[in-house]
Amino acid sequence: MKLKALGLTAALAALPFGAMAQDFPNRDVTIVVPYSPAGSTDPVARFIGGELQKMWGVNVLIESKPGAGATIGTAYVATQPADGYTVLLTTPAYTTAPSVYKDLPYDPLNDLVPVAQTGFTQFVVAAGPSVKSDTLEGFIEEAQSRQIFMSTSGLGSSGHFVSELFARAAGLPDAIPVHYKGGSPAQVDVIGGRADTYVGSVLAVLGNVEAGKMKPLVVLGNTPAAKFPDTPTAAEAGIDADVTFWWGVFAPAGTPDDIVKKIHDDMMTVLESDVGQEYLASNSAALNNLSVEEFQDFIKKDLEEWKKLAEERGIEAN
Amino acid sequence: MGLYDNIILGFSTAISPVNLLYCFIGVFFGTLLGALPGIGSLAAVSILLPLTFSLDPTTALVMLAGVYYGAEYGGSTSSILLNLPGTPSNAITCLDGYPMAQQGRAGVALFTTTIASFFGGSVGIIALYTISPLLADAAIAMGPADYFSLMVAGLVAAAAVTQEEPLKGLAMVVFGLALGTVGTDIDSGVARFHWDMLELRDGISFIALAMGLFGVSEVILSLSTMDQRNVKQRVTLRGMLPTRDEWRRSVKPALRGAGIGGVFGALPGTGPTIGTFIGYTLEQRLHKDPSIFGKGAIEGIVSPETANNAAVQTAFIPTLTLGVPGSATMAIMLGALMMNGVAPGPNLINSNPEIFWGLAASFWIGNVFLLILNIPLIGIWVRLLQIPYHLLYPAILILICVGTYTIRSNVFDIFLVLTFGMIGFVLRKLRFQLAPVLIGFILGPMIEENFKRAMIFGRGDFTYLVKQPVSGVFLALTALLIGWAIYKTVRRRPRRSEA
Repeated sequence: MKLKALGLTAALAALPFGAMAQDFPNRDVTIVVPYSPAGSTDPVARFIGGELQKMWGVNVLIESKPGAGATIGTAYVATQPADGYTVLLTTPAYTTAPSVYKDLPYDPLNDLVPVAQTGFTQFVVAAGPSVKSDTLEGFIEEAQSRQIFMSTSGLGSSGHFVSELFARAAGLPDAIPVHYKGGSPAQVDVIGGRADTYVGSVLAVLGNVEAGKMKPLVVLGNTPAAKFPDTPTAAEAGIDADVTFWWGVFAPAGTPDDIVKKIHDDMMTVLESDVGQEYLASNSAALNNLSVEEFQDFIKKDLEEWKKLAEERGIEAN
Repeated sequence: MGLYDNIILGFSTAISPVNLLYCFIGVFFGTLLGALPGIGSLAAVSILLPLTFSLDPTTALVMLAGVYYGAEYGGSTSSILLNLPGTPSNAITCLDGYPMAQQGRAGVALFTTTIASFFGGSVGIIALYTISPLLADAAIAMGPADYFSLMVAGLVAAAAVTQEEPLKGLAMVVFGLALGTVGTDIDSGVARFHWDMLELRDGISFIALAMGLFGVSEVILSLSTMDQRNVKQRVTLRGMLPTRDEWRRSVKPALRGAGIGGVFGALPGTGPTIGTFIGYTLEQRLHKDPSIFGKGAIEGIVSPETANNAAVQTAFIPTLTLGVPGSATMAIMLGALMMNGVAPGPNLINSNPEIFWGLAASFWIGNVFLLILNIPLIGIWVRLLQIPYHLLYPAILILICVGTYTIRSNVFDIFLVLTFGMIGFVLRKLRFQLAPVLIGFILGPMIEENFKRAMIFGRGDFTYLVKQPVSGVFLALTALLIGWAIYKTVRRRPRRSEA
């Protein structure tokens, strides 16, 4: 009898009308961040969470589940109830991981649904003292006659993929990646003159560029970076590397469309507000303002492109 | 700006009422949490991190740093009283601290570690003030080959922590090295020994390993022996003071410990634990009667504690000047800075001098707080021993599980810590030393990682390792060390057979 009642309650809770957009959210919402609180993603979640908490009048909790190139936290959210009360805030690792981890416990296309892109910032290719030239053209010329070491924040990280993308786009004949545990140790060997380039977000390379230890060669994509006004964008330099670093929110697949839309719209309201714009600017970031559908297409395209690049450049693990 | 101006700027920032208050809050909770077995500095900083979100960057960092070195300070308490290290870097303090407590001299041990910690911390801070920029340059100049050779030297130097049975010690180093291979290889991306568990892709958690081997195993061990080891301790101020002879014997170990800890702390990636091991080994090697170690020798607690706290302070040098965190705890500090829009790196000292020098000054104020806070607390800590074990140990087990879980909110780590508890228990029953496991575990992956990188930069040429000047020197030192060890063994052997 007791079991039956329990089963009934569970069945009721699982019914879609238990989670309708007009009364969402009526209890605590959890944003899972697949990185440690020390990373650059955690503060973004905390900012958005704090603003949503004011808007929604319920607690928005930030839970950190780091590990295995962000796949532990992602796998966790994939198994959560599809009611919008547990969502994931992650980075391009979402689209690069499937190309390196062959045995992911989730399917990035079918187990989670993209909800909103909550901001983007540019990737910057920066060079250390081992590179003689200060310009992109000079560097490409130099790279024709010698081996280039590209230091990355880890095999299969977005920085690694983007480094390979850049090497292909710039036509570097002999560029090989050297992997580190995270972006800061990777930059030390660049400023020490042992490795040649590092590709990271604007904020990640800013410290060393401002100190004159690294020189920015090119800002990838077609949006100039305010912090590096004199550095050309990839579009200006005529190389095909249209890629950005972004933060995005995902929900377990099966989350009702109206709830996905509500979370998307409310997050956009937060980010378009003055505080939101100010926050993004302080992270050298901006908003693309993609609709739910546009973001979903973006993710699909990204997954395919990274997969192609991984096959082409022989990026693999396992 | 000269050193004098920096000190003035630093202290004027640090003694603002808000910063003083948060410094005190930080060290108070840090020492409290650190003294609880199982809650190390990483867990303590993780737990208290959310409290700092509303603070300005300097104050936030002053408080977090206070928690960090407070926890390292407090960590020795449970090492001495319960044979349970509060943090992994206090593990070696158990070796002589616990025997002292068993001899009824817990007060002396606690007092000595407090003074040693204060001394070590102060030396570390002076180093932070005077040679930060210099050390930052040195760290940039050091490449993978240099790190490889340094770590090899460290491994050789530390492999000798065991006193009686070198073979068993070696076995444990190898066990540690083996455990260190678990996880994704940085260079090839191959996941090794992960048994299809996503959680093992990043390798075994150091905290889970250390807390399991040293903490959980101690709990099981005491359950299985069920003896009441409680020694009634009366602690008066006079009873806490070391004898004149002990004061005298502590001076040199303190100086050497501070030096070793300071150097290892400043190297990115090593963390304070290595320094404590090497400090201890060195004292044992230099002492005319090495057999007193492990039985309550004052040198055996002074050296690792000064090394630990010196390392804790100098660990801020690479974190702040290079933006390279030396340990997971430092990574959180770095995160706290970036969260506030401050970019750590070579430019930090110039762009945010108040943060750098203010922090350095607050460290010293915090250390004074710790001194004042800890000496009166010793009497209270010692009373912990009077809590019946059937109440104390379940509580400790819960704390260890909570502390391990907090670090990355993963239940897997709780199973891991308990598993290592069992393994540690069996190994201790078989009379294996556990400290060398940690050494192998920390150094093994660093040696491998840097070796592979050095080979990439050297284009596969092994002589690259010797041709790099710093690396060459370390390798030569290693060779000397091995030669010396062989010489010592050969010379000592006949004497032993006579006995």
